[in-house]
Amino acid sequence: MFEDSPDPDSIVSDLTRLVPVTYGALEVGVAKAHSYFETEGAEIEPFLFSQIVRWSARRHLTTKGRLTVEFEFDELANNGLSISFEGYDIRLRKAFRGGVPTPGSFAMETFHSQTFGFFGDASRPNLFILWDVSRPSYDLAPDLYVACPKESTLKFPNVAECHWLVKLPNVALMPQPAVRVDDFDKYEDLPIHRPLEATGEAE
Amino acid sequence: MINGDRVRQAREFCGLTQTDLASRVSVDQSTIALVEAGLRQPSSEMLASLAMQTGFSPAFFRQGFPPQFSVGSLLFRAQQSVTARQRSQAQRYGEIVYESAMRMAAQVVTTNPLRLPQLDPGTTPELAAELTRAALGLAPDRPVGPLINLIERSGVIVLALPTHLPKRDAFSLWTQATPSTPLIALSTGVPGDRLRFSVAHELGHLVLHSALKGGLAAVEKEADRFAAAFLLPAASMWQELVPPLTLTMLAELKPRWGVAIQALVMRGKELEIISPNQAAYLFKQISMRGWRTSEPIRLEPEKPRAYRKMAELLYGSPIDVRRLADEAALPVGLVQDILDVHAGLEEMPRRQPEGSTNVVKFKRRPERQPE
Repeated sequence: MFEDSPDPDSIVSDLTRLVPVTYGALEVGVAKAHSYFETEGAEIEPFLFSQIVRWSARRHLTTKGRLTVEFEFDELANNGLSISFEGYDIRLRKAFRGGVPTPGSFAMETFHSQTFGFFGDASRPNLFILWDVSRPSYDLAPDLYVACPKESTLKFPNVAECHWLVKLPNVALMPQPAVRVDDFDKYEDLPIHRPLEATGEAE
Repeated sequence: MINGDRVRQAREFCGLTQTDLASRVSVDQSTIALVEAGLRQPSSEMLASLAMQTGFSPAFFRQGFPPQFSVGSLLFRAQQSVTARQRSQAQRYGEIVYESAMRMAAQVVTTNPLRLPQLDPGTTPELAAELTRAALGLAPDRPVGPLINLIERSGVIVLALPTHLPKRDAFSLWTQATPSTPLIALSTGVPGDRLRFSVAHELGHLVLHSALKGGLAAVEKEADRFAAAFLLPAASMWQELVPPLTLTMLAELKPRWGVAIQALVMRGKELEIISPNQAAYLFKQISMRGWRTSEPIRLEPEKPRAYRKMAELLYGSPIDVRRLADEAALPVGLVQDILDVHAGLEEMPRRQPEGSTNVVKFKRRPERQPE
């Protein structure tokens, strides 16, 4: 356990490379879930929607996610999403009332309580990355959040207590300095010259 | 002797009505009308006033007739709530920059054959795009690199106008010189991705619509179809746009293909890679983030080069702007503005040399001071 949680800014910085991959996987998950209900011609059922998001995002992360960022992926029951990245154990969860859902199992209680083993590193706490959808459209919310949970005795339907909860900027979708369209073809200056008689020399 | 057409040209360039100009030079509207029609010569005081109010020197008004400059694709946009005055102003800007460019072109040698394809009537925009790619030496499936440079190298005159044209990013026409040459005029202040699409759209007009056939809206749609097929070939899009499309994926594709994220979504929808519902979902996401007007990955707007290159050859480097302006009978400020919207050699896109990240840069050793 630790009393002084690490600075969220440094953790947000550590997670920079993971965020586009995670958000991209959740985008795929949400698109697949929409497509499922569209094909079925049925209204969205929230629990099944979330299940499809998790299953599809997990599939995307395991197949394509590792192509860009190195991380470990743990199989959890109920299509849970758990990632080990840069020494952090991270659970991807859907936000509950804008915060972290209270633990529903002993394993999750342990995760919240930040119990570190002998080789544990308190500078690398357990984290939640939270995603959400907007209602009633069920579009993926534009931002992910990261939370550092702490042990608490609160039970559902409360929101779990955290040391902090901050927005995770997604650099892939943020305004960036303008880039040039180049690197495709070799640039050649235009073939425009002075007439030979004007310069007295060949161009 | 004052040329009335030049007075009209300067007035429309400034976006003024005859009444506006008359009140500025303290005469009746009918006086301006008579001067423009060549039925009356202005007094020296009135000429000085005309020069002051329009910014053009008296020498400008003494020139011969302005070049024949057709309305071109400006006509096609006529239905899009562009006023006649805005259309005339755009045309006048084009005329003035074109005339100045042609004055220089007469003194240089260009070995740049026109490489646009000759199309059979009834060619579809998609086939036209494919043939144009081939004519310009592009692979059928690769992204188009610096587009304006490519078009200039293909014998098309591309001129940037030092003004933001309302409700249009560019227009095109076949000049009435002999031989007739294709020309694209660009507005300034247009985001890089949109400018590329607009330039490809105008290229579509040049290869498809040398004569206006069919309704104006249909012609515009054909040019859009050409631009989409030219910049985003179908075969490549089938490889690149793997459903489900996500913003993260589209943001990665944008700088590679040099088009807006919204253009990629539209292309996916056109090619039925994604359903209309999926496209609507993505557009909703784009709107929610405020990307309709400003997308997160911006492309630097490309600039045409020919005008500036000719000026460098004829007026030195750095360019003697005053001499250029005097010879063209144009205001120095306007000439400088025209030069600024054209690319110097150092502004042109270049391929990074391979392994450039490992290149050690040497600094120039300071000059040894005399002891």
